[in-house]
Amino acid sequence: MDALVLQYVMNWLVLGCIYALVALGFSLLFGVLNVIHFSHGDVVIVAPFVVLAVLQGLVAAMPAATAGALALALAAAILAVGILGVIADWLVIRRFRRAPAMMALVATVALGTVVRELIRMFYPQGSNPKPFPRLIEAQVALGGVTVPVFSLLAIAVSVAMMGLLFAMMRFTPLGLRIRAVAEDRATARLMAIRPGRIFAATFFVASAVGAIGAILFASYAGAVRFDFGIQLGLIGFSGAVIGGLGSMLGAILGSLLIAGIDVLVQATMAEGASYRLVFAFLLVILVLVLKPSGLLGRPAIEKV
Amino acid sequence: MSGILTRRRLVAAMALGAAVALAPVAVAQDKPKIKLGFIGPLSGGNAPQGLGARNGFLLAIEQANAGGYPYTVEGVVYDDASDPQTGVGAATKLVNDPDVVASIGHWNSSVALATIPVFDRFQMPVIIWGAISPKITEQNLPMVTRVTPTLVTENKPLAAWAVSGLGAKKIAIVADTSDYGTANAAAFGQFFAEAGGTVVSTDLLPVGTTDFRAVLTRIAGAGVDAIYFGGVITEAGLLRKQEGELGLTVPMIGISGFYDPEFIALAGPAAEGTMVSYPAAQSNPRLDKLDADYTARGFAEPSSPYTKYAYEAANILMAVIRDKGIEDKAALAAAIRAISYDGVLGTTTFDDHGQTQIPVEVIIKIVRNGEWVTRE
Repeated sequence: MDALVLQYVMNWLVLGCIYALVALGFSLLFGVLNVIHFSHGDVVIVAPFVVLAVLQGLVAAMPAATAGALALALAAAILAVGILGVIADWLVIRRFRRAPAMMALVATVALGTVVRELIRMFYPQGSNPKPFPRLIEAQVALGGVTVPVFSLLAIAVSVAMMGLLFAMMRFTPLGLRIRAVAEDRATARLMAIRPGRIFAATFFVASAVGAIGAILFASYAGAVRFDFGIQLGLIGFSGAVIGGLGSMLGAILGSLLIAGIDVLVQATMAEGASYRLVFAFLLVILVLVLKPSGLLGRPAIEKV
Repeated sequence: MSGILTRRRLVAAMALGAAVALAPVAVAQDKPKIKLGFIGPLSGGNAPQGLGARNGFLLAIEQANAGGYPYTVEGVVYDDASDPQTGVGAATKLVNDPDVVASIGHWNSSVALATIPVFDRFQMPVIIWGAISPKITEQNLPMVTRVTPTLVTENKPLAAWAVSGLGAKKIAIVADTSDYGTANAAAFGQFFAEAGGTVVSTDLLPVGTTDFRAVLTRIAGAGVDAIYFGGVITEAGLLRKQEGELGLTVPMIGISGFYDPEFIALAGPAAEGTMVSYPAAQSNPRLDKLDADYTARGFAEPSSPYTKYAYEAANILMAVIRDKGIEDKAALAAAIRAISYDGVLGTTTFDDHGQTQIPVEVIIKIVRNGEWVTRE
């Protein structure tokens, strides 16, 4: 394959996979709770900051064990952001269970601003961009071009997470309960499933998966800033909408489409870079007009 | 209820008594009090530039207060976060504060272009210390002057040097879509072509872009001798980092917009060899003294290349206020334009558009071993 084309394809796949990890959270939460969690992007972007903080603390404590420290930092960040998602639900979103969906939406927009400004206030020099390390620096030759191992890792991790998520929904008791609550909250309660616990579990899973996406995003870009969550969230949300909110497969498809348009426009159009997101969001409008339920929306596939 | 009221009254009476007792102390300073405004990016990706400039501004005021200036000056500092809306909000606060006599402002051209109509409408003299779009002084608003050279004067020698000194025949231009980025792309493109080079592509990306790989891959395919970046720090750092990773080893050049240590921190080892043109300050004892004073003052933030411009702008304001008083703003603005001021930048005079006439000599700064050094 042409070396240039291969690089474009790698770029597309990595971006698409990262967006998909965020989009999955939107889709999952909408499917189970019927709520659009607009602060999802801001919640998950906390993860790279936790990684940096833990990493700095650990390296200061014992300078030798860098690989172990990194693994520990990643685990801590994913866990912390999963819990943060549960806290966000418990503090804010929970209060709007019986309210019209619009109210929860507005509340989460506000919550996103709060989370963003808290990062800025409490992380040292929080307004400035923070260099974020590459998880793996090595490169391999692939089809005549050198490809960073990180890109392959990002794709592999994303695919593995998607597989795990599907397996969890399909084959575990928790997945069964989540699907039951999503299908019919009242009947699920009659079957001795406590929706409150299921909601908390869903928030944990969605936020933790998103945290992985955010860490990969920061590592791929090479930096993280308190406001990077806005665009990441917006793109993830758009991916979920294009695919059909509530459909996990749709979220993945939608994210790949958005990343594809993004890369294609920049690669082929003169001055395309200025309009990269214009085309991505045009697609959102187009899908909403022609098929409001999204490409793989509820009528086509069981909602998860 | 009445008991509480009585207690409140008692507290109020005591407070009043205390105020009366302390009043003579408070007015012991007989110098009239004035305020000067500062706006710049104190948060966000360009904060290092703004913070250094703010410190220069505050240092100038502290030195004036300590040095027998006829007014007691207080600096009022606002953050524009590199955002035009936030900047206009800050400018509105300044023009609505009756104690603020004049202001200095802005590193981002898009913010300056948004606020100068506000300053002009409310008749408050403003000196631009860091924003370098030519449009700012082209409008010739009577209240607006600028102590920095425009990006035209920075791009022209850089383009000439890129062709003759660096030997670049084909170049790719990347910039952001702000006023600053588009003006840079246009100015550099024009001067580079005039100098005999070929601009292969021009890509403008929105501020806040984090992934440049698609554009860079295309540029790599086109085979260029160098990449010109006409944006600011965060994007410059990410662009350079991703360039290195795609195996694009051609030099990256630009103007002073990302001449900042933060750029090196972001790009990491990939920053090596990046070159920017930077207006060389005519070396003089006053500038050396400023550097020493800045260090002695012990600010939390390091000085930025714009510290001296903000310092100079504040001193020019205080010089004309000393001569003309604080009442007639039009006279103040006219006096700024008429000034011939010997300071840290050399001798500043303004043209009929309020643009500084200090001649620009550009030096090339290059990243070597993780530090900006002057390229010989």
